[in-house]
Amino acid sequence: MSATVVVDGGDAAEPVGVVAWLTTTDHKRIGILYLVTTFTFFLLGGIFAGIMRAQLTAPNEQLVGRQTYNELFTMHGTIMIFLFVAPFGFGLANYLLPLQVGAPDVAFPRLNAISYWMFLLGGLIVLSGFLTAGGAASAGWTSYTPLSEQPFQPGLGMDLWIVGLLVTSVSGILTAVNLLTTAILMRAPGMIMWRLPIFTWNTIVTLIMVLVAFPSIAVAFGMLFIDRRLGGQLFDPSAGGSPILYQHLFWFFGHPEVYIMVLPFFGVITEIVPVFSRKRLFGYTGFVLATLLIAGYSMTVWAHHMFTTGAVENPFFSAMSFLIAVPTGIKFFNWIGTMWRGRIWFSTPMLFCLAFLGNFLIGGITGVMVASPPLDYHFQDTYFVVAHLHSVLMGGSVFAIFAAIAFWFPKITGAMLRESVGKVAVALMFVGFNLTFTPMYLLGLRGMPRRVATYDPGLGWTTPNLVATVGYVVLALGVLVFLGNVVVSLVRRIPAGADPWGGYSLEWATSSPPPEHNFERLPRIRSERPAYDEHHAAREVSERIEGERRV
Amino acid sequence: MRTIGRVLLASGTFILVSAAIYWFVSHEWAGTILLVGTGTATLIVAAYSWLKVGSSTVFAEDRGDADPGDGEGEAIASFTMDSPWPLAFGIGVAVLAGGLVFGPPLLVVGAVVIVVAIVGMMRESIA
Repeated sequence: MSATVVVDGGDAAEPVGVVAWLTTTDHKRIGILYLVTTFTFFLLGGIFAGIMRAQLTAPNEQLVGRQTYNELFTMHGTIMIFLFVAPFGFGLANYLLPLQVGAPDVAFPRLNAISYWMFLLGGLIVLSGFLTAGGAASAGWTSYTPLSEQPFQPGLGMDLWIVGLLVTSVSGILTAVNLLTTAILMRAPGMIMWRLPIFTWNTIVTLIMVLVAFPSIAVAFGMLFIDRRLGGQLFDPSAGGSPILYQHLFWFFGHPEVYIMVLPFFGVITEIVPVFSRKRLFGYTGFVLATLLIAGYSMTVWAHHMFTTGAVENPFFSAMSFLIAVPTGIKFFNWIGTMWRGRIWFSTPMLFCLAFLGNFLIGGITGVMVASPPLDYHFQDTYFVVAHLHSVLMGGSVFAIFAAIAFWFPKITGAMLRESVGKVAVALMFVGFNLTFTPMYLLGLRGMPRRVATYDPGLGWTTPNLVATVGYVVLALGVLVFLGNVVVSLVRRIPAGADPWGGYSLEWATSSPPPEHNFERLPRIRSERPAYDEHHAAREVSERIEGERRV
Repeated sequence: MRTIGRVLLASGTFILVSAAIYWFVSHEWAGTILLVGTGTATLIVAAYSWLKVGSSTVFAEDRGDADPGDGEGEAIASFTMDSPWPLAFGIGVAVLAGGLVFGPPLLVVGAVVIVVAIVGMMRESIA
């Protein structure tokens, strides 16, 4: 651009301590706030999952009552989807995107801070339902009508759920506007779009999807609120309203949301795999085009969640859902092609990536299964669907989140994580994850419905549930080991240096952690691997001269 | 800008074509309107990007041979690195949202806090 925005503190003394964090507009600090906040929400959602698993360990358990159980599964889903996975991607993008495009900050720093505070406070409003007399919302994370209407959810918890998520939705839209503007208009000289790191590309596509999908859910929640509090009958069929309309609006957001929760983490995997394979990404252009195709198709598959309503065109949505598997499959070729004949370094981030590939593959294959209406009629509302979505989001996105933390922890903190402890965490989490969710596929095939607070013996559900609970314990242990590693590494620091991994993208060309405006000096950008070019240019020149001498 | 314009043009066209196919196979209104609205909105932004590119010079970030110093321009504004007003604005929005559930007094308090935060940010920018 031909104009420059000057960022300075003026004559006022710089705030320190907690005040500095409360008043910051620095994208890196706001990114860290997002990461810490969303991870805290993740731990809370994980505790809720643990209570549910304890309840289901054996038949007829009465650890919590049915109403409490309903609140727990509702808030578990709400937290993981609205307050953890997608916003963690926003946090990562907040920290990394300006660094990767070579910008000193985001386009609108104060709007960025506003977005974060709206996200945090919106999330707390959602959770505050637990403090009301009627308890938290308990209509499931989808809150279908008429179950979420006043007669069936009379408490204030449901209203707080609606307005809290409305606030976080607006926060997401503001973040999308901000980061998109940054990526499009604040790139460093030479950083043409086709040299952007894949994480940034995938984030751009994700943010466009946020702008397209989030208004739909904001409208759905607004209409639901009108029905509940202002006497509306928009979803009441006895007054000419349509509950199916809520499902259309919800899933027009909901399925793109699946990819909003996945695409940034495809980007994470695609940043890590080439670095630890010591190769360029195989098929950069194809990867970007596949991402765009996924985004396009994701707008046309929403009603595959509604096959069993009998109110949608099943063949259309089934066909589009099968098609979306193709560009997703292309990405697997990209990752395998990148690793093929590479010198693979089995570091903690790379091991998380390999675990991601296995877990996500299972989620993808079972996704094709539930995209088939005849099969979906059997699987609908069973544990098969629970297992499938956790293979995608827990085995996929969450493993990628841990890979991202392990990969960029040195950049963010300037300290290395302990590799050996990290590998123990990967092993525990991989084993725990598969022990937890593989039995759920079996439970689904045996007809166990989701969202039941207890079950009778003799249905063939006891042993798989017991194994799943053991798996949860192993998985939770893995997460705790990982967290312990983070704490120890922050206290007893092993300095990381600017580029401990031999990274490719621009953030590895600056110090760890980066200075206030990110770069003391920008390198020349001539490829999609500017940091690699910068660090290896001298060596390559000397090797070329040596080679010419030999000739 | 040119690349992102092409991306948006392709996306908008894809969604509108999907909308047409969807309408002819389903005759279902809700989904068709959602798709047509999404496609049209995407094409509006694509058209803006296209017009913007046509009326401006090529920026340094769109030139593959640009060097780090090429992008510098004159200073147009000055902003602080820290500000209490975004937090105040967020609190105002949260109180306003609470007002939707708990009653009008909170709505008024929330609206006042939001206005104060906006004025605070404006004064910061002017200073």
